[in-house]
Amino acid sequence: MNPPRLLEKFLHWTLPKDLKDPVLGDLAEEYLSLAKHTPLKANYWYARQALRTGLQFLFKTKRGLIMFLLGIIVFVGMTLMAMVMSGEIMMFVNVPSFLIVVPPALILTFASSEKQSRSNAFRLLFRENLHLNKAELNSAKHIFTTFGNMNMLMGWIGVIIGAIAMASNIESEVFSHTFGPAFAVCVLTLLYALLIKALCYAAEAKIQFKIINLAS
Amino acid sequence: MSDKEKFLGEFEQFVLLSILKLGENAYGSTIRQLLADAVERDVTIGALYTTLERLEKKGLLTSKVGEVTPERGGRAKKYFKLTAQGQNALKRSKEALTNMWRGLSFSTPNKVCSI
Repeated sequence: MNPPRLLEKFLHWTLPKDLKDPVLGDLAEEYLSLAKHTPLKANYWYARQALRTGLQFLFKTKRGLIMFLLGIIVFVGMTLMAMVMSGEIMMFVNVPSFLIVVPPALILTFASSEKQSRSNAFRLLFRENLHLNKAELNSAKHIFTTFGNMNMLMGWIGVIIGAIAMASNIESEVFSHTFGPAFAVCVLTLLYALLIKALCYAAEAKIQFKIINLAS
Repeated sequence: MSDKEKFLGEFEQFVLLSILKLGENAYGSTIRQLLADAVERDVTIGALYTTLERLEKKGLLTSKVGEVTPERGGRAKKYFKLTAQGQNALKRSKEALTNMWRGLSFSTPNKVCSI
C-alpha cells in the first residue's frame, strides 16, 4: 500500500532538496503503519500532513515562481479590467488580427531557434532549481526576445496593411461612419503584439536576473 | 553563544527532550509520534523539520543520514543527536523554569496546589 501519489508528488515538488528523502520517507512509514488498521483515516492523515507541509514550504522554495505567476495574473487582470471599463470587451476581439500576429511570429521563432533552447526557456519560467550555464541562459532568454520582437513587427505590419486597406477602400461619402470602426480593427494587431511583448519582456527579465545572479 | 540563543522556546524544549528520550532512534517520524503521545502536540512533519533545522543551525543538535528501508519507499532516514551545547541549553531552560516556579502556589476550585 502506497501513499496517495498526487499528494506525494506535490510534496516532492515543494520540499527543499535536502528534506525530500527524510520527510517523504517519514510520512510513508507512518502512513503504512496507519493504513494497516484504518486505510481511510490514513489517507486523511496523509492529505492533512502533505498539504500543510507542502504549503509551508511552497512559499520558501517556489517564491520566484509564485511572484512571477502573480505578476502575470495582475497584468492580465488589469488589462481585462481596462478593456471592460472602456466599453464592450468584444470590440477587442478580432480573430483575423490575432492570426496576422501570433502564428507567423511563432513559426519564425521556431524556425530561428534550437529545440533545446526553447525547452530551456519554458522550463526556466516554472522550475526554480534548474541550473544552466550562462550561454544556455542567454540562449533561452533570446527565445523570448525573438518571439516578442517578431510579434511587434507583425503587429506593425498588420497596422500598415489595415491603413493601406482603409485608404484604398473608404469613400469620402461614408468616411465619417466607417473610419472609426475600420481604424479600431486596424490597430488591434498592434494591441495583441504589445500584450505579448509585455509578457515576453517579463519572461526575459526573469531569465536576466538568473544571469546576473550567476555572474555575482 | 549569544544571549538570544540561551533561551529555548517551549516547542524547542519538547523537541530536544524527545531526541534525548529516543536516543539512537531519534528521527522525524519517531520524534513526531513521541510528541503526539507524550504532550499531545500533533504537529505536521514540516513544522517539526523546520524546528529541527533551526536547532541544528544553532548548533544544539547534529544530524546524519541513516539507512534506507522498503516501508519508507527506499528513502533514507535522518537521525538527530543532541550536542553538548544542546544539552547545556536544556539544562539552563530547566533551571530557569524551576527557579521561576519555586515557592509559587495557585488555587484551583477544589484545592490549593503548591509547587
